[in-house]
Amino acid sequence: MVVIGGEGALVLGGLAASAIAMTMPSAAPLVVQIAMAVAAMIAGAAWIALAGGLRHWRGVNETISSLLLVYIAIAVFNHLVEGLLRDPASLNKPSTPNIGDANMLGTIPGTDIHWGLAYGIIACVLAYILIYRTTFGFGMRVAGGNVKAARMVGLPVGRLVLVACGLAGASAGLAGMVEVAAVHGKANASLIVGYGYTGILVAFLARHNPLAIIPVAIQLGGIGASGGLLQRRLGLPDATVLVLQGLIFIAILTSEVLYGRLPWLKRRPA
Amino acid sequence: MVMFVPDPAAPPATGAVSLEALGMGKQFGALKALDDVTLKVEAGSFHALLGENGAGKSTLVKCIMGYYTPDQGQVMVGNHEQPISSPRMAHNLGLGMVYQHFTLVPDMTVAENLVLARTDLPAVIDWKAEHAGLEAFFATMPFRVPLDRKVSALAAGEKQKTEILKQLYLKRRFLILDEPTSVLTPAEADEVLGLLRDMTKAGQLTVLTITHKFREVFAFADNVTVLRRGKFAGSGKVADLTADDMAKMMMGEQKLPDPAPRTGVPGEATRLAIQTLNVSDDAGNPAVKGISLQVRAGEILGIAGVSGNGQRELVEAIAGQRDIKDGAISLHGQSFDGSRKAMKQHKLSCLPEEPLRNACVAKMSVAENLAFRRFDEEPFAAGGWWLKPGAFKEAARQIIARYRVKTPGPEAAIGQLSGGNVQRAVLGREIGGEVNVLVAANPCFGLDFAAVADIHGQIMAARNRGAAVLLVSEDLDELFELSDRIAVMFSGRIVYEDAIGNADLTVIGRHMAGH
Amino acid sequence: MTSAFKLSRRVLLQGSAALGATTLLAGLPFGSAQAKDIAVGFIYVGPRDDFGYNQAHAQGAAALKKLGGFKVLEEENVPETVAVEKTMESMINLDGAALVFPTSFGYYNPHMVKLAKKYDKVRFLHCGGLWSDKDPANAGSYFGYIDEAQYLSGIVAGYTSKTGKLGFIAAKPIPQVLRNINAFTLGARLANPNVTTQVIFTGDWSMPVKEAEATNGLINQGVDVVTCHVDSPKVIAETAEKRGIMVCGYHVDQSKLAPKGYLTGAEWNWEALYPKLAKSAQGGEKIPNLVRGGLKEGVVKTSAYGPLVEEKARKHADDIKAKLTAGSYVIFKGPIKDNKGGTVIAAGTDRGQTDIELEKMNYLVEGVLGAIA
Repeated sequence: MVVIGGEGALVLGGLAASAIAMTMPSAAPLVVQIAMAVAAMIAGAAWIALAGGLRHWRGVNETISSLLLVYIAIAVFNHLVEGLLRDPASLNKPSTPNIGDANMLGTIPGTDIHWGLAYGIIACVLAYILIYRTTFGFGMRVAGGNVKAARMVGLPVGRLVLVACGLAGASAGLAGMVEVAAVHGKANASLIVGYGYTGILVAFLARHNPLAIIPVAIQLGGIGASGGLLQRRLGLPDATVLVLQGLIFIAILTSEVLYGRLPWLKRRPA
Repeated sequence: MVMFVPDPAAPPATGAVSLEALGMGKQFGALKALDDVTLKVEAGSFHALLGENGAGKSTLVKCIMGYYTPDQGQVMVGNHEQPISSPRMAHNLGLGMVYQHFTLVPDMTVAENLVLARTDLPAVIDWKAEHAGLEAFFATMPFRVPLDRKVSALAAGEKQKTEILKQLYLKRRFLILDEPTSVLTPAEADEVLGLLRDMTKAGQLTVLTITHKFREVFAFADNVTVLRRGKFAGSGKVADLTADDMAKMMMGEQKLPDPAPRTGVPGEATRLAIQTLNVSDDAGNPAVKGISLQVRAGEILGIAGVSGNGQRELVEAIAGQRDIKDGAISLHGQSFDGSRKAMKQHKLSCLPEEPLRNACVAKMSVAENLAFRRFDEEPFAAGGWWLKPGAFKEAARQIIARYRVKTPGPEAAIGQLSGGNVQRAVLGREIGGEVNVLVAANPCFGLDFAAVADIHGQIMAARNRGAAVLLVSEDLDELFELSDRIAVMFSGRIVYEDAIGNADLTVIGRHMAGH
Repeated sequence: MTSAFKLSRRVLLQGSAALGATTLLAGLPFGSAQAKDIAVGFIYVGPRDDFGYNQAHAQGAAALKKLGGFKVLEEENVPETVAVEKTMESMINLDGAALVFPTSFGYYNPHMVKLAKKYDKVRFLHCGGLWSDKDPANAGSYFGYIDEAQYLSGIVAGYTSKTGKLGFIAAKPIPQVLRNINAFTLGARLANPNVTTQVIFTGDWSMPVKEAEATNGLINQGVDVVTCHVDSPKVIAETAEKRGIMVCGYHVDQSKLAPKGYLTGAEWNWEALYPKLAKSAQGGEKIPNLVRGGLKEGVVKTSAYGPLVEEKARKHADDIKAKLTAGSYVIFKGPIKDNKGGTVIAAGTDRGQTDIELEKMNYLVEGVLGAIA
């Protein structure tokens, strides 16, 4: 199963996080942060579970439906940010009200990196443990790998698909919450910058291994960050970064096709 | 319209043409798919080509159509020898083929499909002229289909008619039909075949049809040729033959293996019971139609039949892989819901065909695949949730050794293994432990002799230990060797059932052909 | 280069600017005679050649480069996220930027404000934000009353339209955009009181496909002059030209894209403002935290009239332009009604350009067809 609609879960997660923060102006920061994380994860989970449900009950391809749901999510997001949840003071850039400086996540001491990095690493490790070390993850891998085999050994495929989608959506929703609570302090159009799509690239390059996501994500982040220097020092256009990412992508795709097929790359028998 | 320079010796350009394939031979590796087969089809006749699965019918027509180059033999079209080395040459000689499955473009209209099938298509199509041409062509045909209708909006019978019209429009005078009615209802089949027979009678066309159904042979064919195991098994006028004659030709006076030695007699208790079961195929059409059967402990019930008669859907329904429409499956008298709990409780095991596709996850390791049935219990999972990779590897090593699975190691992805090794691995997983009910579907398909003997021994051992075994197979040898009872499935129904000692090959052959 | 030492500083600067080699000079030992070039960073949210918002800023940066004495750093396609913080920090730490222009609205809060606190020696000047006393003193914001130029475009459009139907393609119904729509319509109705402006909101700043669709839709309804407020008016101008109608530009001069139908346009004049601001920073002068200006201050300008603009229209527009430049004309002068019939500016009330009420605009004036949200 391939779900590529993380962007939708991310923006709605960010929106849910800032919406819940609006309702608790006087609560302690930790309480607000936990409430934001939970709200974001529920929103993200529900959104991707929608794609899982369409797949399970209606036979709709989850890759396509989750991608199309992104557009709906962004439309819902804009509608609420420019309407119901809009801070009247946000004149020229409609936003939700600020969650308040006290509720921001802040940075990891001694660095200027915000706590989102820690959240991400913890999420990757937890995902690895869940997928490779628990019976639930084992069932997900079987159901995701071959529905016929999963049904043959009596696994509840529908439930596994829905829960897997829900967990994936919750992770993306959490990313949206971090964007709000660590960077913007509010939900607005700045959330919709394609992090969910970058996530697809990262997941693919990491060969779907949660632990490999950590170095791959850091490397892609590094390439992205290098874009500024490439522009200023070498006078290269911004698209250079895309070219670099594309080269990595092509290298991986090619190695996949050529794996074991090039005679001069084969290990010689000892 | 077909662009080729007429050979003065070539057959006349219109009307039915005769075809003879003489001494055809074709070898695939160690398998002699076709061995000195001769087929003679008179001009203007309706000829049926009969045979079991793997009898060589498809190989023969593919050689005639130029898809395969035969190792021996020659093809005469209209009494002239023709070296057919490509489908295009066959087409130029007026030979055409209609396949079991549709080859029309669903989103295009009938007219577009017909015109675009031509090889001499101009760069710019004058649709007005083409329409006029098609109308003129349709006027000469005994049947027609709406020209401007999209193919996707046509019923199956109309689609098959369009396929045939396409061949006629392309000026084909000898039509080969590969099981043309398998996707049609009997009424649609009768209509299409009836129209074709009328055309042969009028001398416009010669038809060679591959079929399994005696009913169609008797109703429409003039002559019949029967193949068996790649060899010519007989031919004749349909009017002179009975169903039993044809069944004998198909089955031959073959020496069937004696039932394999077994211990114990089937017990009294019914382990697997199926009650008026209905199951649909992937397209939603009925595939299993009201089947009822029982298998007792220590008994092997063999189900024979030509593939595509609902066996796959039946097996998948019992294996929990396919939803049932209505009816019931019960194990030990309890209704079975396809859940893991029930599978464990009743110790249900399956040996599906193509195990890599049906029972494994190719990119997971051998050790993981071997643990599919038991990964959520001790010793694989502590407390029912925390996996212990060591236990997976240990258990896998035992199965690998006991079932001689050739693998680089328990950590290798099972998709890298050869077919036989995947089969043995799944066998080890499914019947390595205690089994009460076993469902097997063509468990030895594509395996070598030693592996077949091995698997047969394991299935028999499971029976001897008291398992109820449902064995679905296209291989009669296998069924006669293993079964205690045998049944025949045709068109989604059980049409014959008897103890193996009473079974008669001719009768079984006739039932497999639906007669 | 040895001969360069004999030249006066002024000549040297001109010569090197012509060579486009100012950055080379930064490393040359001119000693005290040559003040050290100061590094100025420009950050754009989109591509700098977009025929629109970003190009206007890039033209300002290019003017600064031409002037000499500055090392101009540019970065395009920087999203309004933490990425812009990284870009600013990188410009400051790696390239020694002393003055930074983050030119997109969303860069202001929290990103620029955060960095202004962290780097109090660096000047930050933001386009479009509204600096307040709570923000750091080394931060500031500037913007222009471009609605004055839109008003003039409206006058020209009102005279030139044959159908009396104008079209306005706008990104979002936010105050800045509404102010432009309203000014354009008020100008047009000055020329012809029966003119209407059909407005279409696309929902975002850069939606080329929707913008092209909207243009075609407006033309099909009989609109014969379109203008817009989106990041890049490129497809709108091109579509209008292709369909044979007229267009008023925005952000920069788009007459090249529509040589026949281009009437005039509301342009930024960052080429004038940026050198001015940068020179004050170089000279160590205090830069005001809040810079606002219109035609009078030279922050905005209008495009040259296109071939279809008649004498009458030119004369009327030039007349108003002269009054605006002199500071003696008020666009939002009561009574003004909104398009639902309510009075939004009472008779006798003049809302001059600096009136803070205008920054909260949330209505469309009479004559505009369309609704907010």
